[in-house]
Amino acid sequence: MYCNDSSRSTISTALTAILLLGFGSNAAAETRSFVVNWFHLATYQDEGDCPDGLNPDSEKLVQQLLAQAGWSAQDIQKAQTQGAERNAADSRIAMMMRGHNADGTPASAWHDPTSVPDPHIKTVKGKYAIGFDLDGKVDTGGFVEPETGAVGVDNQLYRALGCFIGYHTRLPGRPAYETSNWDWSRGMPVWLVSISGDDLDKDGDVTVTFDLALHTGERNAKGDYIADQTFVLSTNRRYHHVARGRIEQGTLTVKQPFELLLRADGSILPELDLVQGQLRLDVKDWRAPAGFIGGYTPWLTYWFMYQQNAGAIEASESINIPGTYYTFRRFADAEPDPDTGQNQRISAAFRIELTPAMLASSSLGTYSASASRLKK
Amino acid sequence: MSKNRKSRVVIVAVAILGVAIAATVFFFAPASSEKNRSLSGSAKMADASLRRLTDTQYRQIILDVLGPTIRVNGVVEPGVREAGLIEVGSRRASVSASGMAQFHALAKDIAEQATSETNRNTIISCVPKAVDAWDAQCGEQFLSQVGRLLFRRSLGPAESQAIFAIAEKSATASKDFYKGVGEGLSSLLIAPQFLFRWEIPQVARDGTLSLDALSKASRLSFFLWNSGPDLLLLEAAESGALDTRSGLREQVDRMLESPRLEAGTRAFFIDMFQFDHFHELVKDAQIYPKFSAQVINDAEEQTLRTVVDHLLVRQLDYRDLFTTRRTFLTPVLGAIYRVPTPSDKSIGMDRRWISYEFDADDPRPGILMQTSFVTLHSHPGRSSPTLRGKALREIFLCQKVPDPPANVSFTEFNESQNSEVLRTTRKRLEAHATAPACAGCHRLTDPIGLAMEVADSDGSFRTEENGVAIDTTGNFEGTVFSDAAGLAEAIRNNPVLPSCLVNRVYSYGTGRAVTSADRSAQATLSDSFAKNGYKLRSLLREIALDDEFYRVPPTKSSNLMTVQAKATKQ
Repeated sequence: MYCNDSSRSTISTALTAILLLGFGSNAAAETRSFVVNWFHLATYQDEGDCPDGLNPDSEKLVQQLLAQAGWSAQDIQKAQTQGAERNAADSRIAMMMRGHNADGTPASAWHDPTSVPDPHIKTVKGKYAIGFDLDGKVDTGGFVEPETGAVGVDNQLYRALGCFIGYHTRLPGRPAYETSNWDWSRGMPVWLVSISGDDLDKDGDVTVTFDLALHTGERNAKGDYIADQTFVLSTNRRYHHVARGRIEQGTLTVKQPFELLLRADGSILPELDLVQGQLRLDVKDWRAPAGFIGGYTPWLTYWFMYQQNAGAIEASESINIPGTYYTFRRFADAEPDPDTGQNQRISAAFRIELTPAMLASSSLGTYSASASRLKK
Repeated sequence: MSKNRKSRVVIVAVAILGVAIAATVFFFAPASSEKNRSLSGSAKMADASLRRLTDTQYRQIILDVLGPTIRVNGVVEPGVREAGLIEVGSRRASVSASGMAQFHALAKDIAEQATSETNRNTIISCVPKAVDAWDAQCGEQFLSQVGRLLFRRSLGPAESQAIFAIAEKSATASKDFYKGVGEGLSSLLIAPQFLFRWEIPQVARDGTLSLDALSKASRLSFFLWNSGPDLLLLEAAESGALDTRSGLREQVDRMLESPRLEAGTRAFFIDMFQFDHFHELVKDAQIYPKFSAQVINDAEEQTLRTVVDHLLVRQLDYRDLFTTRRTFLTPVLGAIYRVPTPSDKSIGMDRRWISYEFDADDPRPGILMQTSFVTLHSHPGRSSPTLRGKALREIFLCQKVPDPPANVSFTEFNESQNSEVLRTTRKRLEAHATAPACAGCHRLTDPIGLAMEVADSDGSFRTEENGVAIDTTGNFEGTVFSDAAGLAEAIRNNPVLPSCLVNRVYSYGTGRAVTSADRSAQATLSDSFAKNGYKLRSLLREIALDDEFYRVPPTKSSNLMTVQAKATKQ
């Protein structure tokens, strides 16, 4: 009868009772929690960064690939004429089947990138890249960090991709394909970050915790996650990671390497998998912390992001699928395969922007929560 | 629009109106059941007043009579608020041509749903001998049963005959029994006897005019359930039991114990709190990115759940609604309030709402600080202490705050929006209120509205405005407070608060504004309300058992059909 339910009182009481509890560290006096609102490869377009020029735009790339597939100039022009849907469909198949097996039969270059020769895409040769000196060796990596001035910055993923038109940008611009996917994907698991410390408004040591939410979140009209909503933490410990860092003068840095694995969405990234992770966040405005997270990530996983949507990627995003495969493989700089010596991981840095959120843990129907104690 | 098209539209509109008028005239043929209602000479001079069904009543009746599978896919023409209530304005509400078209469309749609293959077996209690022909026994049985509940009395022979004829004609022409039943049902749903609540007076034992038994049942039912009488109540009216003290008490107590009281309580507070304005509420998404249609829905529901839980489930003091810290939240509301709201939906169970109790030191107690009130009484792009103060006085204290003068100048206020000095709304309002023409009313509204400034236009909590700490101090009729919690306490302890509720509940039930002639009865009810610990259920019972509640005040002739005219027709 009516809308009363006594079990709700229990939940409410439990929630209220644990509001004062910290999260991530029992000793921490304060915890502030967030949902990852934006995530994409950190890019830093700069004058002279692509001295060989940019990779061809999608129209030219399609022309090149169809020519490689044996199409005449006339047929290519016809396929690229608006309204020639049938030809366009044929051209997609031709682009895909431009590869050759060892016996000379046609092969899908999208599924077996080695069925075509390495096209040697143009890559970044500039001085700057956002990221971190992941291996602690200033003589590797070769980039200088534009914000911190750090040298020996390792970001081979950006080196590989930065001369594609869609990646040739810098904040406030964002890489087109990744950000549009991030914006559109409603199935993307929610990534959560909690920062704990004695007094987060002062310099001091902090604990940074990464988790996955059990459910998706509400977004507003701009596509951003609505601030201050509550997320229930996944109980899967595989996606629970802790890093130790420090806040100094409004910047949180994690230099002590950490590992991170978060499930993602196939249309964006199958999963975020980092080792030797580092983090730098500007936390001067606790309502909108933002910064960069870096580490070594499996390059093949990243390549799958393109491969699983290869037709659109080549035809619209001008990213050469076999080209990225060869380049990632060549630029990979960590975790060599014990048998082949081929590096399995590639250094990378990603832009990460956070929105305040509240986290609750769920276990057998009972709740506990970690409230973000925000000043404003 | 082309001339031809315009003409067609006009013709269609006139045709629909014509159908309505024809239906009205047709159905105006007196029912035998009405003939039985005795009309003395004095009664003939009184008005039989009509009250148009409100949107919530229409929906509730369809739900109660035809069941939850039927959806009302549209909105009934909006009513007019008088004396703070649409229910009072319902006496003046008419049906426009487009409103009639809307009723017509709704009726058709509802009838189609009710007779659809999916629903017919659960809604129509009999099975026709054949589906391709009219079965008078089954069809008439269903239409009589439903008609009785829709008209809130048994159909008279002439009414029945007309409805049955429509149904039979349609079934025969279409060779479809259910099509015929649908036509009959549709005709019932556009009849004035359904769309208007008829309140017929009779001479009471003490010689005064009072509602006749069926009208009394109807008033009681809409008052407590926001719907028409059920069969038990109709039977009590028809048997004369409702005209006895014990019979009335039995029905009132039964109705107060019914789960349907929740629907009635919700409907009253939707009306009193002016929640119909949620339909037109907008916020600037750039300024308030958390605000959405979901927030609007949930904000209304939050307050209604709080009210039902407080007043019906836990049967607490009405005044404590203004200081209670207990409420219900959803994830989107949790984001607005910045409190954790992990709903069961998060873990795969179908429950979005959770109960929540704000901390004892949280400065947002009571329903005045809930998202519903603060968002409804704000501007799209900023909060408004003036609108909030005005609404508080008018809705909860039954006071009238004069409208601003026609030549009011907002220059001072608007131009100071970006001022470095006048950075808070308080400062800007102080500047605005220096104009003598404005000062009078702003003195009434602003001091209380400013205490609620910690709630922004979207309901979110803030402590600063443009980098300046918000000053929430104020004074309400001699009580000094330092924040919204203090204001809530002052409102809670103001004696006008419960007497205003008595006023509103009584007006809601009778459908007329309380006048000076009601002062004594109101004072008695208020005293009784206080003695009973300001419990809503006791107030409803007190009113429902009061003879005055069913009294028909003598009125001058009006545009409504008089009993005399009705008697003449008979």
